[in-house]
Amino acid sequence: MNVNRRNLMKGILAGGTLATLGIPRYATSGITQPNHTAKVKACSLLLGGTRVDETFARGASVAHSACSMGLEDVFAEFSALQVVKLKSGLLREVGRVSELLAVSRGMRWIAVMDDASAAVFTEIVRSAGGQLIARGKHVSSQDAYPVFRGDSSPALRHLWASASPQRSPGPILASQLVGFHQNFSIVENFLQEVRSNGETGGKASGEYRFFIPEFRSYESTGPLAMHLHCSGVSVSEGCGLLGWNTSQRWTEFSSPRDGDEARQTVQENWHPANWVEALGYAVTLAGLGIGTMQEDCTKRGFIHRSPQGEWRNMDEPIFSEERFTSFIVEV
Amino acid sequence: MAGKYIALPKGVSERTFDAAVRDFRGVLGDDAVLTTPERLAPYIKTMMPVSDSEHTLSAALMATTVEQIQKVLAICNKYKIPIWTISTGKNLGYGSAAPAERGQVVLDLKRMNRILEVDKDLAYALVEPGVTYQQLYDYIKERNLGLWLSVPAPSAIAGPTGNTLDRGVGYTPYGEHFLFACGMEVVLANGDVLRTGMGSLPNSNTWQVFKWGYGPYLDGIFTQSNYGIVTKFGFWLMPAPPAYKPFVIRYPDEEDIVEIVEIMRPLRINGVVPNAGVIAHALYDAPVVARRSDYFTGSGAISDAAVRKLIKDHNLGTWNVYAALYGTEEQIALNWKTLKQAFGRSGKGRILTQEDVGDDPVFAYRAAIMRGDMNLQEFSLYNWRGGGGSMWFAPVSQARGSETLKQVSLTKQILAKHGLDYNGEFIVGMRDMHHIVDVLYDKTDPAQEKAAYECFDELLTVFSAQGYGTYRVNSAFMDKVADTYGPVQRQVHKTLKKALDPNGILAPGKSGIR
Repeated sequence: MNVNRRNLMKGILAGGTLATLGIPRYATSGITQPNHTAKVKACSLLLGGTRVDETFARGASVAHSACSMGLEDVFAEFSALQVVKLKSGLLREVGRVSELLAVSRGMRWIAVMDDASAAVFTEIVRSAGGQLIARGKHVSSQDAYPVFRGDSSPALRHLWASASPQRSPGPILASQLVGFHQNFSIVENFLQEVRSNGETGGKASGEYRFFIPEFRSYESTGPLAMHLHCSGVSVSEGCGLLGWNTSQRWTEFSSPRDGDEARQTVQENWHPANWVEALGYAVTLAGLGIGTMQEDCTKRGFIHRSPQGEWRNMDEPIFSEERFTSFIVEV
Repeated sequence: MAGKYIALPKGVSERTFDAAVRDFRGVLGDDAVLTTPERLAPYIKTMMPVSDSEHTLSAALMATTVEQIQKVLAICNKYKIPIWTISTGKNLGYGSAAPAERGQVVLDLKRMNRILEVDKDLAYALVEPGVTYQQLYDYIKERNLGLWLSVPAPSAIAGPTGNTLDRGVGYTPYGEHFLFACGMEVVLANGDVLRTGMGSLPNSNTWQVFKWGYGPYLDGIFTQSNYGIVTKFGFWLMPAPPAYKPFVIRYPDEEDIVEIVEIMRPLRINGVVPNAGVIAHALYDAPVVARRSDYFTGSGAISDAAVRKLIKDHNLGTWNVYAALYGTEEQIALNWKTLKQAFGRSGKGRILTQEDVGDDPVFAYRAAIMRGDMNLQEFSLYNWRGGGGSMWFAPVSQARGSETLKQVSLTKQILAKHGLDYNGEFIVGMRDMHHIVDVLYDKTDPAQEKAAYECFDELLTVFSAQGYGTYRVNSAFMDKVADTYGPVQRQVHKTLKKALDPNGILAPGKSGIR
């Protein structure tokens, strides 16, 4: 990528396109440069035959369309989102999926499927020599154990294992979900280990930090760099609810006041109908390398307790009890 | 600081590891040495209630020849790099492809996937470790060889070498896989290549037909161990029987398990029922047709009332006995008569065949795996609770009815204490019985993950104290299980390790052996 193109993209992402996409203008020095987006010539959506397929796909489609529009001048060859549906589920169509991956070299896949299929899909990706960029487990359930002072984990929980913060959907999803009135948690574990007082990949820890409106942001001063973004809970409560060590020492590096301007941006833009749609949107956007945030940390958490404590779309019962897995992979 | 690697082997500096990686690349080529997070991520999923970071590999190596493996081992010895070998790495619920300890290098043998020989007359196969069951299944089918495989639950995606070396089981009459293993080629830590049994004899053609060779029988020490890397594996195949009759017997009450085992044991020992009889609890079968949240929400283990409703809705038994008859029509007719008399005497069980159950999806998958077909439906278990947590608890007991209820009661009591369900089954080998429980939990809920760890730990402690040893376990609990077998066995394992692998480069921690 030449310098002019890089500058153009930096401009797009820092301003108009992010707004178009409904992403707050994070106050940060670490916004991801979508270098790898240039490589994403083809992106496909694999729907594993779950109850959430259609809703997830709607969010994915919005993200993909928005990216295409926002970047069409830059990437003229950005192709349409191809969709593959597994009507019988991956457990019954494992051969088909293996063949699909085998013949789609260079393809980035966004996928959603049940947890059983996900266990097998990970194996197939490895067998195909694929890259696993992010794998997220998503649960909406009242079946949570009391963890902290008798409090339970939020009913809506997301747990990601991601190769790096640069392509992990957590911040995008968090910025979407705060618009709803439901408690939620997001935990992202990154493979690249970063020490809070050290360096990795040539970058000093703490060089990249960001915040999202309504969250207070903290970094740990323990041996591993961890970032925690809290909304409606103290850092101590947040740690407890996420099952993190509550005796860890934390330093705040931003507060909601800093994000007032950004908050206006997110309010003005696309609103998902529900959390599954928001998830499809966030995962696809991250899969395309847009809007994610570089933070130098090994683990990142978002915890939000809504003052109202109610989900605004409770008339959608299928999402009151749901569990599935999402993927961003490349083969 | 980890720097450019996502993890480093214990006690190895980044500089030393740089040198090792450079040497690995010299032997294998750049494409066969993986170090980037995206390429290594698919190796890490574990399903165990511990942080994945405890099982993060530092690199993955893809070898294709024995000579390459010898050179890799020389490098490992030089730099003291521990390697964790996988064949296909599909050990789901036992640690998958992830190493036992953080920083180990995974030696992935999936590219060593040649089917070296399948003998139709003598009914055996010799394969490389990367060969999958699906590959072998297709090979046999394309050539119309008239042979059956015995496969574990991951069937299509797993392979015979890795499954047998971890002493996995299948569901045909050849289901005790190590019993049907015959001849291995093993690369030792010093680079020597050993062929076990008759394989060491020049010009012998009996490597895959006679197991014992001469002198101490060695194959066993290369199972569930870290004494060598198996690069060729021989095993016996079952001639396709002229007829096959799978069946299920559904029993209504929990206490019926006593009667079931008492009836099943003699039928197994005298060969009327030639395959391992599976006695699945309703909650082991249910995930194929239902999810927990369809019947129960809230905290704690699922209620008895919810289980009863589920059983009624899906026409399941509290216990569901699956087995099959194999042979000629005449043999099957004779054995069927014996079997019906035995199980029909009390009038408690409903004996059903394919004709009776139609397209019942649970029966369909059981019938498929009892004839060695590829079928992954058993993994529906992971959808029961969801959230990605699973550990197999696998204690062994005598095949007696009296051993069942107390185990069920104890297991349910411990699971319920931690808010988890009993998704269990018994498998009647011949004289032994495996009690298999999938401890399912939600990894997104930190408290539930903690509870699952404590639950599994308690299950191992309580069962071993009562004399129930675990035959196989995930990599987070290998040391604990090794301890239950006492200090003398651990010391013998260690002595062998020292003798065969003095630098401790091969899979440190496997089965608690270092």
